[in-house]
Amino acid sequence: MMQALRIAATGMHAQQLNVDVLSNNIANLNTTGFKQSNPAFQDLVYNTIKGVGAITSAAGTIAPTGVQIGYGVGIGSVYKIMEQGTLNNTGNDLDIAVSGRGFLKITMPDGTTSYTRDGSLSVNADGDVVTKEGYSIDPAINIPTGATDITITGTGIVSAKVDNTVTELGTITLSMFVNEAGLENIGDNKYLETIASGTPADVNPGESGSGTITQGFLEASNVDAIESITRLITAQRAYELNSRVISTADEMLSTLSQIS
Amino acid sequence: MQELAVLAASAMATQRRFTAVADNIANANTDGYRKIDVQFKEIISRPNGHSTASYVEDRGLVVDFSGGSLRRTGNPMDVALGSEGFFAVQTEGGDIRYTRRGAFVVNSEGELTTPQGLPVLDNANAPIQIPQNSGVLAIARDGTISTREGQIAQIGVFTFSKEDQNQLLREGDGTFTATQGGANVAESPMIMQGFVESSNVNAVKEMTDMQMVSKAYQRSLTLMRGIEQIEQRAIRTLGETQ
Repeated sequence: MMQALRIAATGMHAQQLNVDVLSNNIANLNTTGFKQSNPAFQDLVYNTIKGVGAITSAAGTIAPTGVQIGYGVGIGSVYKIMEQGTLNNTGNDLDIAVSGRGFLKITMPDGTTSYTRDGSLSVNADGDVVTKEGYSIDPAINIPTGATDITITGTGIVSAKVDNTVTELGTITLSMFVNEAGLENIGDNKYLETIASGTPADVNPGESGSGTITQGFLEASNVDAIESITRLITAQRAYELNSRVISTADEMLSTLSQIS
Repeated sequence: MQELAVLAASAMATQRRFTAVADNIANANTDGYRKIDVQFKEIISRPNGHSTASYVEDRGLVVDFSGGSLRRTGNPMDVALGSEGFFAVQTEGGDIRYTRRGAFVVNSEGELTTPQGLPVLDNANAPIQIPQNSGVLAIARDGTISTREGQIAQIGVFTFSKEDQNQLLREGDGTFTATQGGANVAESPMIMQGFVESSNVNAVKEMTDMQMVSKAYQRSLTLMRGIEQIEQRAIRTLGETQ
């Protein structure tokens, strides 16, 4: 009986976390380059009361089924789903979207490297191509003053018209991770490399299985509003069901305490 | 008093049933979870030759292997089994576990694994290696993984005979180990990319079961109290006639 109470408590905990993760996804419905998180639940280990295949007679007959009671549900992991988001046209020269696999590499103010799918870039006072926070991209690209008609090709080559001649200014590379779901989230659409993600390989867009770059577009969040809302409803109902288990267990316990 | 023992046995079995219902409800949202049912059996006791008492005992828990509904996630690394069978994963200790949960990731070594890091196996029980420079993976109905460059591997799907399947031991995290018989490579698996299989727990059934279990439990206990009162009265009345 007490076990049922504890099991239902694990169920409520899990659904609470489910709602937390889903609401974070929904909150980022319009965040450029956002990748939705997915909680993976796991049924917990079992307490084997009577083993499957236990011998039930001297003649060697075996029990066709055993008695194994579980301990409820636990949270296995919360991981990012790196599915491609849709590309939205912005018309801005320095907005780029990655269509396919790969991350843009950013040099953080402290010199470390982070990775992002958010390609809303701009030019700072020194002419460096930077993210909206002002962090420069890696490899660094400088746009000279007076440059017009900035073009970024699908393979990442940045060129502009300087003094009426088209000049190549640099190439944007993409970082490819073996395990994208293993990247560490640091907020602001940025990720850090971890042991789980593996070391990135920097490649030119369109090479070695990486995606291509689309100028004038931004990658929308990959959160599906309808799917998230239906999952939220399911989570809420599951939470209610677990709380009903607790109140029923309580009723049963109170009957028990009344018999003597 | 035999009546009390019969009722106590019933209350205890019902309690065990309730735990199973609670476990199912807790896992109503656990992808790939298979619900459990309790089977009861009757034990006949003839203490003094002529009167009999029938006790109830929970004989075993059976895992219901019927399929859960498929939920679209759009994640290319999610695969659901639309047919019978299991995916095979390998534990750190090298044991093979079987699971219906097909939410996979690629780890830093380029192996296809579960989110917990257990390698997913192919039909020959070998881990599946995904080359680093492969773009988006396509997974065909029969489990063939391919990229633009061509075929890489095939996700293994295994089936068991009905008897062997009932002997699968639950290991938690949606995984099972085979205790008897061997796994056979599934003949025509149906793998759906971008879907996961939900838990097969039916909330309506579990709620009605829970109500039934709770009422049965309370009935047993109320009867126990009734019997106790009859005894008390009997002792009192017999005591007065002396």
